[in-house]
Amino acid sequence: MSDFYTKFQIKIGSLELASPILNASGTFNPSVFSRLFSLKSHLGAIVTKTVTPNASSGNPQQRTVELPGIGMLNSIGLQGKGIIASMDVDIPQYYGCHDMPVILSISADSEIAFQRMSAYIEAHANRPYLQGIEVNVSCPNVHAGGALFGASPQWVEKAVHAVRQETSLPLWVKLTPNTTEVVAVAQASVDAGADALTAINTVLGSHIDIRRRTPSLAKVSGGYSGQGIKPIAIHHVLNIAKALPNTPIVGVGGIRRAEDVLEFLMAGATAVQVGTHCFSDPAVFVDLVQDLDTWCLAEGVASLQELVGVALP
Amino acid sequence: MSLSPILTESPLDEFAVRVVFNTSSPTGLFHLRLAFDLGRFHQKQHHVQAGQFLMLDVQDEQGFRFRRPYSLMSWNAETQEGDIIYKVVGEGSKALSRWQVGQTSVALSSLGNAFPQVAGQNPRHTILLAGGVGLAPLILWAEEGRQKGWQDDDMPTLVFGVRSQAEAQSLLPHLASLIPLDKLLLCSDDGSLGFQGHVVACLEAQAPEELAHFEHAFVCGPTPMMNACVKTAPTLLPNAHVYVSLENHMPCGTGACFGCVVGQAGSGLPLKVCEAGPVFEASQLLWGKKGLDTVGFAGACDAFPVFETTASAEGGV
Repeated sequence: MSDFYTKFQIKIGSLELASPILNASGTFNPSVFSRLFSLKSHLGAIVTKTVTPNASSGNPQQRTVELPGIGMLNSIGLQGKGIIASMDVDIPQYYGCHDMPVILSISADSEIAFQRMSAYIEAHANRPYLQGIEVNVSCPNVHAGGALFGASPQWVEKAVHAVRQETSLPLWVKLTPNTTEVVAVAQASVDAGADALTAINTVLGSHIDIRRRTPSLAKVSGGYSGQGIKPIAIHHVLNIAKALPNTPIVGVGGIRRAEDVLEFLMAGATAVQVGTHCFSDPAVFVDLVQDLDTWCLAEGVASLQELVGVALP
Repeated sequence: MSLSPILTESPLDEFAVRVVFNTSSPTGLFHLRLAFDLGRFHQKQHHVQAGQFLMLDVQDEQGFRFRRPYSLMSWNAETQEGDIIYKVVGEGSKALSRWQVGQTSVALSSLGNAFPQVAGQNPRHTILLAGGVGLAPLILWAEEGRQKGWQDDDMPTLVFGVRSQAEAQSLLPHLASLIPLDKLLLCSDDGSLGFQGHVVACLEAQAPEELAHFEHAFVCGPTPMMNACVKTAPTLLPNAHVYVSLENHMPCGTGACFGCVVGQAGSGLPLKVCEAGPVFEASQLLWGKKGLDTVGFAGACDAFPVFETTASAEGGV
């Protein structure tokens, strides 16, 4: 497919994208995937792997577990070069060279770190491809004894506010499902200036290697992702869409087929991200675009935007 | 002279593959032949260089699985057929073992780098150290050499270690067609084939002057076997640069997931096996007692600029 049809165009706040289909942070290698197909013709934007203030070599092995039929666990540990080297090298060389919007995923372990990183990004944001920031709050807050940042509306509000006051870039917050307060955290994000909400990040999970009689992951627990978490993600998208009808939602969790994308849109998501399935099938984006196009033709749907939230009770 | 593993220009594509045969031996070693269609995106024929790997879709009715990395043991460019040898060691290879003739699947190929070419140097000064199904990329390298016109005199020496004769039986005709018998050293754990003992023991039994002329050693096999080869190489193969082809657990094979990393010697930084490898100079990697050090890279970030995140640094951005 050479280019998207108008039926794929969407708006997330002020940000216009050619397609509602994006990749999820940390699951996509633009330099390899672009050797297969044109990224610009199949994705609305590229979301980067999460960048942290300083370099991190990530967690020890074993970092991933396959969960046949349902997905996987990961505890990669935000391996990366840190914001300075990422802005200098990775962002322009791997992400910024595909003539399409790039959403920079960032994470930090304190409010001040979020703020300083955002100021640094803003000072280096004279790059046309850099069109948004996705704040990943699924990390420990060092000022809260290492508890998950994203679990508390107050902490998230502070973190998002810290980012918002330093940058004018569109701001998305990626919500964790590992809290009983998902909607309150969503509300706090919007109150602090978020333009959109990405739901959901991975679900905490663990796995035992019965042969070795130990947890499979070196870090014991990790993030569960893949098709098994789709009902959880749909549940949260529905709840957030109901509570915050004016805030765009980027749905993510277990998408592998066009039907999954449609489910997310109907539940209230304006766009979607494909994560785990990129690992087992990088060409998934090509199939999704073709299959959605076919579905729209068969159903007489002129624009995918018509479908957003139609299933909301 | 040290040579770099090759960053190949092999085109990457997704290929529909069809099972030509999928036979098992009594020891559980399987031999799978796949016929490759033209690539889905570039409509070109499949191309591979020894060392590179493919990611094979082994999903069945159970649904989601990661693709599995395999190296081809043999590639026929004319018929577009490639051979894989594998053992049933987990869920993926178990699914593969049930594949029937004519069944189709999908492979992403070719991925990763390739063994260095020894152009300008005689390949007979290269020794191949293979353990079990680790034979595949090494014997493909020998096959590529034959296609380039290497004569018997030019061929590398191959040391091939297996558990028992039955495991190697079906492969012997293919090996003998590529490697002259006087350059083929077979060894088995139980002594039923060739020398009794593993690959390193087999090397130790050779006359040192016979081994001194090797300038390059390419190693592929189980991690403990590669570890033993790398640790003993300075003594047993004093003049050889050692390369390993790693067979790590790879969730994606495309550099997207960061699941297959190993530590880099010196810096300790994690390297993605699928993207930086799978062929590495052994000295590039961080080795532990039993194999690759998969823990020691934590905290190794000195190479990157420090970003101050404390309140006292305010204003200093």
